[in-house]
Amino acid sequence: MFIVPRLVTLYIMLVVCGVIVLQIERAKRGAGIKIRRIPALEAMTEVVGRATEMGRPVHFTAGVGNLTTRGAQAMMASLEILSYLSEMAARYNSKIITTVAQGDVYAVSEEIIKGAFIRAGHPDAYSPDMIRYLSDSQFAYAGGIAGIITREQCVANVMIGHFAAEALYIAESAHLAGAVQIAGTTNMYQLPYLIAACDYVLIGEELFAAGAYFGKNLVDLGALSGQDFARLFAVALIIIGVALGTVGNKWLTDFLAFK
Amino acid sequence: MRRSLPVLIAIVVGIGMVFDLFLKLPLLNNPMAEVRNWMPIMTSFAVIVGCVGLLNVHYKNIQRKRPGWYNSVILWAVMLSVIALGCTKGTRDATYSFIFNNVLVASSTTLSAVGALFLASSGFRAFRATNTNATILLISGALVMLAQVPIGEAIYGQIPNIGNWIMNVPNNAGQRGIMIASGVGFITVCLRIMLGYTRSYLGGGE
Repeated sequence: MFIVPRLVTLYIMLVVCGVIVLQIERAKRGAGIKIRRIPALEAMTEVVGRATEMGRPVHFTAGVGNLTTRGAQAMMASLEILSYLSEMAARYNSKIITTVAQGDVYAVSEEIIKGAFIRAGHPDAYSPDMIRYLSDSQFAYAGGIAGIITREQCVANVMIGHFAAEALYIAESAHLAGAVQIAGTTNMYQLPYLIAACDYVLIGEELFAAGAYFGKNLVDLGALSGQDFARLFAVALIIIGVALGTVGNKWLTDFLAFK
Repeated sequence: MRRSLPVLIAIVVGIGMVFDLFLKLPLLNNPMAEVRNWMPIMTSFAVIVGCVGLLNVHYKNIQRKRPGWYNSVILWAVMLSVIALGCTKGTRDATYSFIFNNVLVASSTTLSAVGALFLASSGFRAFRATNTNATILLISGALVMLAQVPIGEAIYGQIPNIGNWIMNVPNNAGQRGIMIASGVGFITVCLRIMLGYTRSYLGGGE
């Protein structure tokens, strides 16, 4: 019944999941878990405050990914950030404009922003035109964003999610419009462009820390701590693999290869 | 029920998808293959939701005569005409193809080309040697660029090798580190969804 060559992958996945669940349970029981300062996430409060002072909107984009296949995990993490950002905007009485490229993201974003305004106690401040579907064609989407940021004089551009070739176009257009920029993606090919063009960048796994950072709920903190243990496990495997590889032994490489 | 049923579906399908990778069991493999087929269909239907939302936003622009409302009129006219054309004559029709190739493709290519200029402007900002990290970035960036062009080898014969080493060793090691760390993050997101801890995909936050 089991595909035997893939069992090693299954065991490793179970170990990683086990560690994460264990840490979630530890956090729930009150183990003090601390989280380091992440400047890009700190800057979110700053940009929302600045938007309120200047009376100008904050722009948010989760990129061109969708919730099923293309960058789904990054999109999920990004929508969590949208939830916190829109709640913060609602509390500070600032305007938020969210542009989306995919229909499924549009439907979920609408619910998230509506929910955030209700939680913040300002349901009347919510307006459906805070969420704008532009196009699923990447450059048409990027062109639309550039237009919105310039016309509406957005004070900040938060672009966190799954981005492809349009990332630099969006970031540079926002820079030219004078917006403060917070970016984040797990797409390795776009990260260098975002680092070059934006003020603050969430690199790789930092994207998944937002829930714990803002929410400070025990499940998120435990999951984050569990991830760190899983990464330590990966580091240990790398060190052993390098040591064995150096003496010409490829046993670990062959053992871990996904078949 | 409105929230618990979608969570239950996400948990069952999520666990099913994971074990589909490790088990050879037609009772599990066939329904999971069917679910994978539904994904593009559902995504296509979601586009309709997006288009309705877009038309709605622009309808309000026209109704309230907001600044630039005439652009919204153009969007309505163009969008409805292209949808009507596509639905009646099909996407292989000459007029439809003409619009697609001469408007969408042409403008996308233009924006893509503008990216080269933006690359230079963002590179100029990033490559200013304001601190140690930026100086290292500037030097390694310059070496990698010189390694790609004949003048690099003319300046110093080892520059192509140095450029390749920067790309293959420190750059690759850094990228893989980020990929592994992100991979663990991916697993956590999936696990939290499968355990019902994360519900942001349902909207309205947790």
